[in-house]
Amino acid sequence: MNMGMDMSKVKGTIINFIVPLICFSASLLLIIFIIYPSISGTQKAKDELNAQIQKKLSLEEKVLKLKKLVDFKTMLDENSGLIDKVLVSEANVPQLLDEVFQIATNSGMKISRLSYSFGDTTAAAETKGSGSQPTSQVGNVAVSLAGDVSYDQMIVLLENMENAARAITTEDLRYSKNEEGVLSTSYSIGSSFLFVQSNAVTDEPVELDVTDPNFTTFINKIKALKYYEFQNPNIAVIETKQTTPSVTTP
Amino acid sequence: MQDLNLLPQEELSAQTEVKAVKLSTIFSILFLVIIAGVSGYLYYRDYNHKKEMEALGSNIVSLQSEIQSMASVEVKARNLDKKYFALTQIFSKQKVYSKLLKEIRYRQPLSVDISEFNLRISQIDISGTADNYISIAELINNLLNKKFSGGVSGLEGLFTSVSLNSVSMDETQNNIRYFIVVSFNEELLK
Repeated sequence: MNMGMDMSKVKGTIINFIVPLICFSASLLLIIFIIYPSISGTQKAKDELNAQIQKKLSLEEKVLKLKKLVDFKTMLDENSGLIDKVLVSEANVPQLLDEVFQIATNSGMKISRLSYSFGDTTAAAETKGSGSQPTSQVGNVAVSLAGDVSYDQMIVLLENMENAARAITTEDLRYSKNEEGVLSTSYSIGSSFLFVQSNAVTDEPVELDVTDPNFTTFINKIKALKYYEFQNPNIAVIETKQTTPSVTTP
Repeated sequence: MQDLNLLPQEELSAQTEVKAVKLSTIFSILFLVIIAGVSGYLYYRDYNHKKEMEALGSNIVSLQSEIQSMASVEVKARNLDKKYFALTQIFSKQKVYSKLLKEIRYRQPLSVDISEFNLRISQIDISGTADNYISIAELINNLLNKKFSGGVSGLEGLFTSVSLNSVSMDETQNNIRYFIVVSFNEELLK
């Protein structure tokens, strides 16, 4: 009897508080399913949005740069061709030796030795921050040249080497004067070659600007270099087995 | 005068219950309204964010496809950029030794002859003969003269030190043999 009265009392109370109970339950559901996930994900959503905006901006910038490059495609092709003459993609030893031979003979040198050796070919370090992960291999050919010249001819020879289209660097130079006053000279010459094969990476920026004043100055400098046509495929040269340290240009 | 409450205890309890129900109903409805408002705002904000992300995404996809259509130019530009970078490094290390040889000739007194010359990194070994000791001193002084005016412009301070390693008289030839080591500033030859 008592038990039945208590139950009806509880029932009555629940019925009386039905509206607050429903309201609180609905509020709880809204907090659990909408407010909490939304607030806890706010920072992440902001970060995602910022990242997307940044990506869009960088892609827009890249599109503009590429469109500019397309507009200057002729110049781009021409510049690529010029640079390929200065920094070749393969060792091309016969052409290199021919260039040295022509420079030496044009300067008046009586050549007594012309030999070469290969340095190690290594994968180039990725020092340029474009992130394109190219396949790059850098190598070095060491040329040893010796012959008789006068002092003036030696200066002309060095000037010609400094202005030669295929980049060569004089690393060592020595001479001794004989009794007739002729200089017996010898030179250690180095020439790098670099094989680069880049891939198109859509999301990575392109840094090259063909209208940049520094780049234009650089291209003008290259244009002023003298290109030696390959003339003497049968010049007498010796390959020495001595190896030189690898070059670590990128 | 004190108020007298003549209502029975049960009636009082019923009134309290009604009051509690009323208050809790108002409070819970208000609470629900506030929560619903906040939820609505957050839902609207998230919906907008989602829409914005979708718009950005489609924009990015169209930009990416535009970039892909110019892939051949991109590859060429990247190759050129790599070689440009490598060449600027090579050029920055290249030394103009022809200027160094000119500078030595300008500073070499006529009474001094150079018979052996060995150029290495930042250093040259020079040996030869001179008419007398004064000529050797003149050569050394000329090399170290930072205000030498008869040479290549910009190379006044090229030679940084000269060390006289040996000097001896050659009585048969009636001249003086010398051997010097000259250090120079490679940066001026770039």
